[in-house]
Amino acid sequence: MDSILELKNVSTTFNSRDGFVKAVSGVDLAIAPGEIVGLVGETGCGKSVLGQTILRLTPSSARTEGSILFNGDELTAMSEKQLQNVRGREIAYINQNPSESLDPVMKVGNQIVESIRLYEKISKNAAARKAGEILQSLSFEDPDAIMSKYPVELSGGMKQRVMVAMAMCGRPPFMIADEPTKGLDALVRGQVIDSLRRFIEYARCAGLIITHDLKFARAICDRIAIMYAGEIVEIAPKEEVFSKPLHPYLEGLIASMPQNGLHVLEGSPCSLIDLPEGCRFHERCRYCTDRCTRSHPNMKALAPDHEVRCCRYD
Amino acid sequence: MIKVENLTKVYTSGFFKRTYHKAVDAVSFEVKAGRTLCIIGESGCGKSTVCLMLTRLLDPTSGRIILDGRDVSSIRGRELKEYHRNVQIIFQNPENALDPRIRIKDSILEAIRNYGIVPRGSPEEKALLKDLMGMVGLQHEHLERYPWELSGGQIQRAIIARVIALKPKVLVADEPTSMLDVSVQAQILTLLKRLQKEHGFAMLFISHDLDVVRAVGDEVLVMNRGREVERGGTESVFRSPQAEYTRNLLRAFYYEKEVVREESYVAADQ
Repeated sequence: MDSILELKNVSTTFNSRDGFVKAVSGVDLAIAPGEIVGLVGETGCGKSVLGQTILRLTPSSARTEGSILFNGDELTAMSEKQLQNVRGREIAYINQNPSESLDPVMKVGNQIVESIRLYEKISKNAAARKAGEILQSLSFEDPDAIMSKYPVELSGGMKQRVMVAMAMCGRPPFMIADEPTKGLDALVRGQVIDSLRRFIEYARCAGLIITHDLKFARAICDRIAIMYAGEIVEIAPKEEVFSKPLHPYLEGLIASMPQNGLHVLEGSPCSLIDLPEGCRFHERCRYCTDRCTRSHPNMKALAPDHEVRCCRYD
Repeated sequence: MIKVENLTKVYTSGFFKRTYHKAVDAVSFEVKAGRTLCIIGESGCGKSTVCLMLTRLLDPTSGRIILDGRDVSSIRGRELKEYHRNVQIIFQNPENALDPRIRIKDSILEAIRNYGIVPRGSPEEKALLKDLMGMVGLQHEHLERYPWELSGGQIQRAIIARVIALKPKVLVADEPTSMLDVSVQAQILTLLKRLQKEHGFAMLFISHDLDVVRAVGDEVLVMNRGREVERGGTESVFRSPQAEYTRNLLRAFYYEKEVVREESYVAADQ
């Protein structure tokens, strides 16, 4: 067994008022121990749903198919109770909204102590000392002052770093971070990235980082998977994603970054209820041929670690 | 076109024990027609306060705002209404900027009718709506929708349509794309630049995404703790920043080792 997390043909659908929403369809992804994979896509492409699917955090109306193997154990077959032991302890989950994830009426320090004592049988004082050490290792300047504050007294970036600290307590071998930098000042983002890096170093964990920010993914990940309309369309080592993007969507995404001249990628993503026939990107693709409108392309490996889903490479 | 001199805003709080907080401290700049000035700085450096004062949504404590050679820092009533037409603002969060209970069409018409740009209910009004939709790249059917039925990028386009209808001389954009995806961001920014070329308005652009600033700005004003740190042409500021603070800011943004200390967002108290 060489991967810590392996997704095989994972699909998640929701039943909504307007019909079936195919949020995630047929995702295959294997993550090796110690490897950080970025899952990059735009709003509504299903990337957060994929993260929630792994830990079964999706709303009750969701239906999941396929297999999710974690260290060889099938997560989809586990009972809610068994899964509760995996959440946090084995797989940490860092949410995109730190303000809503912390208890507003409890001091930050006590919240960290609480999560330490969830994983270790130690006294409150010992846990408080450990909390201080963890904050210190995340280069907080004054851990004691932070611990005696309430979440409202901290800035968004601080709160997100506290969330990272709480996730670190159990030294989980795997971490899922859903948009950890969303809504943060571009400058505070640097600090959150620094905290995440230290976390990864400390826990020596593997991880799946969900983000819409290619630049952030490049700063922290080993491999990047690009998601469009519920499926992964390209996966490659991070440098190759930028140096030789293959999928027309990724090409367009990179060209539309401000530092690359803001070249407009026309149109908007297709609806996940009413998916187009053939390639899901064909309506916006400038290389679109007759074939793209008819047959749905499969993932194809062009190099051992570079796969793409596009008819052009058949 | 528009010029501010020593613009200052002091917030006061407390009743028995007054405390003062200088959010903006003697900031001066000028933006010419068809040009773009970007303000950059950390959260809480006062850049949004500058926007609010410039649009006269907030009264400055001291300093002058001059539009076309006329001091407008204390105008009231009808003059102020006319000023608001000339100086328009686009906010950061498109989802919160329109009234969710009224259709896009009515939101746009509200602004047009407020200033009596075309006679109410006339064929010109319809034609204007159609033109506006074309200009910002929305379909005619979007007019009948409610804000919550549109994506963030589409609402931002509708807001731009509403702003452009008034033919402003100055457009203030307070982080107009920070809530949007990269590809949508590119669409909105190119749209703004194209409209600026066609209509020749001056633009004050606020962003903390330095890549965006580099792509849209002619000039950059760096702010810290309410004060001006550095001002100059975009390329020269990015290539050879003069102030230590600007250098730190650039380093932090490009994820290099030295990080701007977060404490500095607690601005200078007096």
